[in-house]
Amino acid sequence: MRQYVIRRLLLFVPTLFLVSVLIFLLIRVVPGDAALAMLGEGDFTDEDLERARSYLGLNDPLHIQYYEWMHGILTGDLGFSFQDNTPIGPEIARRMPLTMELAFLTMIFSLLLAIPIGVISALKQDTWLDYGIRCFSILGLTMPTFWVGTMLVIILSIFFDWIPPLIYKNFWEDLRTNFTQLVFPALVLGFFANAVTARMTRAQMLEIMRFDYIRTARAKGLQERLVIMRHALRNALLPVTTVAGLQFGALLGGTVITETIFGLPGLGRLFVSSVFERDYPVLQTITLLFASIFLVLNLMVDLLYGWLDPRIRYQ
Amino acid sequence: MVARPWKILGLAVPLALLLVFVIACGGTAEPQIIEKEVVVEKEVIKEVPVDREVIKEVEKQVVVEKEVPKEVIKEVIVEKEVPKEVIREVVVVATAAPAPTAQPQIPGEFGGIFIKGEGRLLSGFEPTDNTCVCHLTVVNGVFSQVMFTDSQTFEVKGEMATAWNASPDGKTWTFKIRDDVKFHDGSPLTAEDVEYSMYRWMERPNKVTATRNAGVRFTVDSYRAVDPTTFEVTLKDPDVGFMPAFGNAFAGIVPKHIFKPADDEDRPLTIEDWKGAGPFMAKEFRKDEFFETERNPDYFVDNRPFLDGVRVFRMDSVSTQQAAIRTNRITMSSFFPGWTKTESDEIKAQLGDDVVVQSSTPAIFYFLQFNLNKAPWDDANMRRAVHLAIDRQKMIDLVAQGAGEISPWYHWAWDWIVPLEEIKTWEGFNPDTKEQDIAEAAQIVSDYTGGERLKANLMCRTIDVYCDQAEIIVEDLKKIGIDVTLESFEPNAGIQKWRRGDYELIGGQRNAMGYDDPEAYNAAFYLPGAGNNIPDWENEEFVALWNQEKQLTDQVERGKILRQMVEILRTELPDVPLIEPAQFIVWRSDFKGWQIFQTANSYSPMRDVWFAK
Repeated sequence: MRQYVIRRLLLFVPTLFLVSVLIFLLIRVVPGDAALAMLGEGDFTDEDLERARSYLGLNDPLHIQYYEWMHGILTGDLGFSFQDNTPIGPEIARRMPLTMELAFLTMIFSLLLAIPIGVISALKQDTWLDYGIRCFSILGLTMPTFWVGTMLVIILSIFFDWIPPLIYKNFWEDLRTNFTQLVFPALVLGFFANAVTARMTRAQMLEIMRFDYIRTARAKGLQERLVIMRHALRNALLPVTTVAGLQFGALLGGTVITETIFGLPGLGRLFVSSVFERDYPVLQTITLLFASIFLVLNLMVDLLYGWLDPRIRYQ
Repeated sequence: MVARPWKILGLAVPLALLLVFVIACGGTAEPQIIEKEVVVEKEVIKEVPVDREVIKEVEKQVVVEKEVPKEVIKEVIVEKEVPKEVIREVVVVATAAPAPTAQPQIPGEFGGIFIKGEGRLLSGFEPTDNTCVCHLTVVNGVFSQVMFTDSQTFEVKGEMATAWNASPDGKTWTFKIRDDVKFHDGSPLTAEDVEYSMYRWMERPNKVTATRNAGVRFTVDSYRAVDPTTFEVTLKDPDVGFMPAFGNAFAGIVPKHIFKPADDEDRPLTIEDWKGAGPFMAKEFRKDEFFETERNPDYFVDNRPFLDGVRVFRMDSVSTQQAAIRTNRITMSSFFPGWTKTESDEIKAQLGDDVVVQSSTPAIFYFLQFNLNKAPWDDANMRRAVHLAIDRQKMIDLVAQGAGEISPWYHWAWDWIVPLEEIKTWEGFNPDTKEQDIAEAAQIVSDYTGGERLKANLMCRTIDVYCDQAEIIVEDLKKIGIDVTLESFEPNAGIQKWRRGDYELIGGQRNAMGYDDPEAYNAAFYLPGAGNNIPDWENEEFVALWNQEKQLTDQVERGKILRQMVEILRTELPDVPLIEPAQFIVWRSDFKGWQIFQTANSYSPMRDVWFAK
């Protein structure tokens, strides 16, 4: 097991190297120009544009630009934003806890709801309860998060004369304010994530409940609760874990609309604005960060498999 | 003749009386050359060195009735050191338009924090980069200017300047700056700070051009601090556009002693460097969250500002802003994005007299631009066909929800060139003759193609309004035999294609911010080599008229020449103006003293606003 983990960790190095090269090249292949974004809609000539490109180092050969970026990353200097010349490291460090917390809360809401209703839906297959749960799940999939979020803000303001506090507080600064700021966006995102997980749980449970070992468990006189919890659910959770892992990764960068609606300064928002502004240093760094997190998450999911299914052994 | 102090004083007294007379008469930013008041003193200094001529400033404060609480009478004598034999000619020209610096009496109340939702916060700590109208609330609060443009009257007034004048040839402008202005760190603001701010605005330490500086960048030849309270700008040619440009809302004065070391070290600026001389001091900034300022207790204007502070939150979503206004969490909606009529109507219907709604069309035009290097758009007649076919009223109704105006070539505020009502009777703009226009346009296209339908490509950037307009253009051109394929591009990629000339037709916005005067606007869009003249349109007569017009100060005379220029644009049609949608701003009704800006280039000073208790 330990060897497996070490091997996987070592594999991170070439993977991240390839990812970094890919990110670096893809960003530059995409149409658009960081210097244009920097100059905005002002009055500038082609010479001004060229000077701006030179100032940003965009006229340097690609390998030089890549070397400088990687050298900075490896020496702990993430560089400065093209757009506003602010240091990237502190900005990411400031936003990271919010994004992680929002993703965790979302996953907690999502899993707390999705697993029970997925199981109930499978056990009560083709009953009104099953239909109701499936409708609820489909609603979560079909209603876009920006619409649900907007509706929530409107309802809170009209009927309760309340919206979440405007100045963001970290949980270590003010737990209560922090919770009131994150609970609604987490519910909105959790509503969507729940839909996928609940349907996956239901499908897996239905499949597993038909297996011989479930029949055997029942035949030997085990209580139904134990059959479901110990034999069915634990096996059904394997693919659910994979989906949850991917969802968590997606939540790190994919919450921009919800962040915008609720005014949260998360990484997703920074990522998307850096795409529009062609802020290469920010874009590259965040993408590399997300890639690293995905690698770690994948490793954690793989290790979780071994815990959920003792037959799986890593060498 | 030897210069002696009593002789200087003898000259100074009548001069001071003359100055009082000019103050009493009031003044404008226009250089008014009054020939009769020219006093010429010729001095020839021989052999005998004169060590110094002493300046004396006599300041008198006279309280005059209620409307004008304070008048300042100043006696100013130029200080000059003459170390050796010098022959000198001093020409004193009374052209001045000294500004009454006293504040109008406003029944404001002290206290309260103004809170605003805004689509964008700062674009970093480089003041000259913060050129969106949405930045003005904080940037203008922190950095005071020498001159500013009144948001309602478009008049250029003095903020820190107490007097200003132009030389008889109109090329040299001299500004007298208050001597009691302090930066937020307590250091005095002098003309050297103005000089350094001008350098940063025009030339930039990193040589990357600043935006919104077109009006000064191409007209100013040199500038210098004459003495601690006198700043002088010399233009390449007399230029009527200079003062509006110098007074635009993006010309804040920064402290040289802070910014120069940072520039020399190429150190990124931080909020700690934001020590302006404005009514509010920078307090805290969190990117994508908020910017907060607090009252400057040493602000140079007595009893201002009224507010304890200003806090601007990043709120991209109009729905969130609506919710925040509804729950009284913010005082005012965003400048960017401006609310639409429907959005402001909704909130007005819900909150009634608790909110105030105002609208303006702040110099944001929509245009359709041709690639003049590609057929058939190299043919002015075909461009005219497109101009005739576009239904601007439909565009206003659908895109601007009925709240907007047709867009002429120039901003509506410059209606002294051609009144909007007259333009509405011109071909292409007149909704009553649209059917005839379309028939004529169809005939032009048919004549060009020999009866075949024409295919064309229209590019729009993926911004809702742009693409909505493009859809209408596609529909309108179909009626005259042009089948248009609409291609949308992500904004930055679209700009890149446009600047490369890789387009046929492109629809979009022409932001007139930074062009406070038609002269600067023409220079930016229609002169050969201008940064925004992407299709390389060129017309010798237009250039000649531009050179003639910019040297005039009389608005009537300027208007005549500018009208001829409009006629050229109308005939040549290098581009086709579409509409100017109205922008709506909503604020809580207990917030007083503020009015919506009428151009994106001017601002309402936050120092004069307050909360009614």
